[in-house]
Amino acid sequence: MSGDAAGARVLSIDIGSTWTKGALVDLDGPSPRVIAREAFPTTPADLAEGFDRVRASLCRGAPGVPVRFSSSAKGGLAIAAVGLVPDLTVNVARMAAASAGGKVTTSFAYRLTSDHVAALERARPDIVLLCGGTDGGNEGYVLHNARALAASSIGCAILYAGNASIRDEVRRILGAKDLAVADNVMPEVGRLDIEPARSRIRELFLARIVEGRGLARVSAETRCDPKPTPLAVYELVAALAREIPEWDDLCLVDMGGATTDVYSSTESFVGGAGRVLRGIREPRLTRTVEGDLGLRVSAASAAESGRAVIDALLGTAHDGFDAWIARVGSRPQLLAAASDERAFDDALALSCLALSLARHAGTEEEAWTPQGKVLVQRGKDLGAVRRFVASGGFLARIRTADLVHRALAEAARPDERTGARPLLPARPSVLADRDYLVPVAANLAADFPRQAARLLVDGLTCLDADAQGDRG
Amino acid sequence: MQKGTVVLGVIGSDCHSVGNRILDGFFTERGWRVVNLGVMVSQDEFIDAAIETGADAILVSSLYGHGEIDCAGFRDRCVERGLEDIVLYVGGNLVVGIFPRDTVTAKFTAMGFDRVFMPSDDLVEADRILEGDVAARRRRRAAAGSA
Repeated sequence: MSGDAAGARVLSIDIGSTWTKGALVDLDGPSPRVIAREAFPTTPADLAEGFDRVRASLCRGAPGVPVRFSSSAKGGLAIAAVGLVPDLTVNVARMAAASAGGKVTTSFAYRLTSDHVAALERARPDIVLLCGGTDGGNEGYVLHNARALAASSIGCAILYAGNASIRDEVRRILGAKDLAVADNVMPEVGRLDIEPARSRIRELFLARIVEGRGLARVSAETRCDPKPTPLAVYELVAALAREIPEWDDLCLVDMGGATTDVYSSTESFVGGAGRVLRGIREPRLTRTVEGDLGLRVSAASAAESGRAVIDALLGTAHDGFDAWIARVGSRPQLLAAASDERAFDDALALSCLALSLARHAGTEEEAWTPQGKVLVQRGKDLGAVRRFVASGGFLARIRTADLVHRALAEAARPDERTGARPLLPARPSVLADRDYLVPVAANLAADFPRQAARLLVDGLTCLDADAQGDRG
Repeated sequence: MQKGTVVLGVIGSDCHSVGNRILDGFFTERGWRVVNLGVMVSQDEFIDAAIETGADAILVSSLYGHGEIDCAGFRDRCVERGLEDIVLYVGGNLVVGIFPRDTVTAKFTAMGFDRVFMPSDDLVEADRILEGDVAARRRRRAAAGSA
């Protein structure tokens, strides 16, 4: 492991939208551990300020400690996805954006109209990801969309990862824009190749997005480049599956104030007799990010999306819920104190969890054919997932696995219209990130994968009813 | 130089995959870029793939006798989704029972299929016809483009 030689201690810093948090980690020995932690308010005008305070406080007297850091400041990396067919390149573009740590704020299919372009200009994303067409495939829509972007006032980076055969033409059309190019995210129907786009997004994040926010000096000083925090978590989930194989078949949910992120590492389609996969075969490791599901900034949209579930949960105890949602939406730091407030937060969290899992998971439905019954699968099968890691402010603090199991049961309801059943984990082991180790370990995952995986696994609290040695 | 792109698949709740693989191999060998969607393909999946790949033709197979139900409205759907002029073929055991070729052909051409093929038809001949139809479509498009 390359990281082993890098010294015994490393500093992990996570620049969030409100707090910049640091942890000094001792990597030596079989069990890496956190030695000290510190948090200061994030300084939005110059992110380096908060960063420096955390670093100075944790590394007093030992300035040479290597640093690994990530940033989700200013709401993270906003990506607008432009593709062709919703189920194909739009879907794959969204996958690529999410797996690169971005949040898809808007997405468009087929031809960009003037209304779409106006919406894009208003949305002010950090990156426009322009996809569409297989290699040698559709040209008309894709060229039209390139021209529409060229004629727009959009000044952010545009990443073209569509039909490779018209790359030169796209370069010409978008020559006056801040254009980057990657291999096609879907070179053939159903075949995904999102790695090149992922790595280009990471480069764009560094070169064009982090630069202006005061982190250039920090990068130079620490000789380490920041990454979007969700990308770091993605790398942590990859490290867990690789370094501790029995920890593969894993689902990790990070529920925050603004979004609910679901990560899973498991074979997306198991196959077998009588099973057919329709649509795209998803990668083994995937992330979905739900921008409408969060407990504070996104509370209003989460309450709206989860209305049916929340109504059923709260029943007659519904009084005050709407007022609570309005309060937390405008005051993200507010914590539930009274018992009814806690019940509101529980209901909102359960519904966010159920909806985010249902959206992350694929479905199966029965089809009768002359050859007998066939199970038609769409999307990713999470049935083999054995461990569920609950992280983020609210989920990290749950006392029992009950909320997770109830959310899974809620999410598993078949679609009323089609009868399609979501392919969710069946009674996974639930582990809570009580000590908030996910962001700490995430920053270390790329360079110290074994230690990062171990740090997290040793630090999680098992919430299973029959679990022994619960530290809670 | 490839002749063009064709989207291939077995429509509906039909799991017959052997013929599908034979067609894939045959048309690939004859110089087409074949986008094979396999079995149990819906109308929209054919159309989605045809749009993304800029296909010249969609070749629909149906082996289990329900072709008439599965294929109803296929051309209309193509028109709705902007593929009004795509070359659209159907072939296989399209109906249950024994009917004269003309009856079956009439049924499916009424749905907007350009050609209808029976299991006994010659593939080499089908390839020749396809080449002609694709060339005619390109000429029509070129004429429309320059008009």
